Amino acid sequence: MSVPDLTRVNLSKAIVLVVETTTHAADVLAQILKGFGVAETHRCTSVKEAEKVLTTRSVDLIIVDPDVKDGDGYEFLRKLRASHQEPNCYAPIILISGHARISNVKRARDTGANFFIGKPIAPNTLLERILWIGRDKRPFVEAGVYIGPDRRFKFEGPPPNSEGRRASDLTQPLGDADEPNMSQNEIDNLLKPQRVLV
Amino acid sequence: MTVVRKFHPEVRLRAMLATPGGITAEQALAAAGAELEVVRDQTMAAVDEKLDRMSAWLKASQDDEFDAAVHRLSNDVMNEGGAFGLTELANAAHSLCVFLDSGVRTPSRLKIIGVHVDAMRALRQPAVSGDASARAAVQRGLHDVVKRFAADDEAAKQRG
Repeated sequence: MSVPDLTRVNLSKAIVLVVETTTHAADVLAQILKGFGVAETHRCTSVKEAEKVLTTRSVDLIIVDPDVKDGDGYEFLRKLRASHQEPNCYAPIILISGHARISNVKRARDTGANFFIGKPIAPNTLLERILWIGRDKRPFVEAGVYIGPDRRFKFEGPPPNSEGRRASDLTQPLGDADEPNMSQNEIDNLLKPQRVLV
Repeated sequence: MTVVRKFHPEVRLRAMLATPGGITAEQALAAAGAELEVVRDQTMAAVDEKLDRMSAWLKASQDDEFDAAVHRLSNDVMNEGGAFGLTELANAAHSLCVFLDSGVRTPSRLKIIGVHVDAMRALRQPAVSGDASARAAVQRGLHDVVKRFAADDEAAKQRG
């Protein structure tokens, strides 16, 4: 999937927090974001620095590699979501990770992040995900220890111009009805218990 | 019973993206590519420095932190090299991460780690990095050597 060339991207007022494992990795992301027209990017390489930025700035997007060196990036995100410090606690979060250790996969799912991207980061993938977050209509869910976007995605049928992979996927659009709608009386009569003579 | 609350907080990014203006995706991607070039040299120098550190660790004694430290460096090499399209380098680094994460403790373990590091260093040599067929040969060679070491380990295990 790629972003259509003529899609508009307006990030001229966006403030982004980047939390990366190394300064070089943070620079790479910051340069990509600069190309996207992002107004302000804060680069951090530790949880401590990131927490400091969040106490003084309202950010519009947070991009985090949870393997950040001085601590636990997953716990940082979980705490942020639970902090109720608006608007940062509701800021969209993109988790980025290289080779995630198996033990961390489940934790990644429970951090309350909006999206997960595998490294290395390609500009096209990052832009696609940012635009996707702009279209995302999922509600936030607060349920026990989990706070974040609803982890369930609504199934909206197979992608356009494909037949889908499920046996139940319809290959053709249903289209309009070819008979008039039934009246309520007709529907009631269908549902009403009938005495049957045998 | 857990109480579930669903709500729609205000997300400024969503509003910004819906605001007319800005640039096209094509322009954004072209600009991002140009901006990346600004940090290419410094990032490549950092990648080389990480490979040097991995080599040095391999020559020194491997303590309890060795696996985690090499995994972290290899992950960084994959991320930083991969961002600049160094696919074979990123693949070799990823292969090392997968191997370390598997927790394999066979006699050839250190040799397998070493051959990964050597392959990554070879891929950074100018004569190899600029030649697609040479890069593919290094990647194939790495795969073959790792496979042979694994077979040796399996044979040793069978012999008891």
